[in-house]
Amino acid sequence: MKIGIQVMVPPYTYEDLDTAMKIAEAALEKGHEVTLFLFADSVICTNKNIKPLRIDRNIPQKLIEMMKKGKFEVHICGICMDYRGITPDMIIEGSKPSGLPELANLLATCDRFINLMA
Amino acid sequence: MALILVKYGTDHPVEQLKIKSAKAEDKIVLIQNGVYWALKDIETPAKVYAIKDDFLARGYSEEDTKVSLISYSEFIDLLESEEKFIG
Repeated sequence: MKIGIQVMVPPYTYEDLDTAMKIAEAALEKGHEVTLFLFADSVICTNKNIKPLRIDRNIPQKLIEMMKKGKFEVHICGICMDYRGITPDMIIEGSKPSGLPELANLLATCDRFINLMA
Repeated sequence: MALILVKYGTDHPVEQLKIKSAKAEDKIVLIQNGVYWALKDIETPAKVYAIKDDFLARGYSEEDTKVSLISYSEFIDLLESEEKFIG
């Protein structure tokens, strides 16, 4: 099954990114394919320069590890990146600058779409 | 019929509307602050579940819930069984 998850709020301030990753991990363990689409302030979580306190979770690093395992893609809204001054050289390895056409394609092709936007 | 995700607390008007609109064949999953709904009797014909991790993370114990607690893995099972998702 192909699962799409969309998030829009910033990491560390809100819980949606953590929820999205936990859902994705559970889905990947069951052999599903997951695409995480980052929209608006959620794109901040792909900044490879993020350095959380040692006791806290490292969301960008976690996303890298999940992508390395396969069947997990991180798409980033390109306009949202530009808006927040995040350039392609700043984003974590494996994540893909993307856009609304790709989001439309994801919506049309995935079996389940989890919207954490509202 | 549909999997309804509730992530805000009991004073949130949209979540109130989602729960009020749920049908008997729907499944409601309480997640994040939505787990606070699990502390009281929810008036809905739908089957209601709460994410165990999120419920325990807020300082409650398993005896405090009035709905079934599920893991993220069981959430994926529900996602597989329901074609429609309302978030």
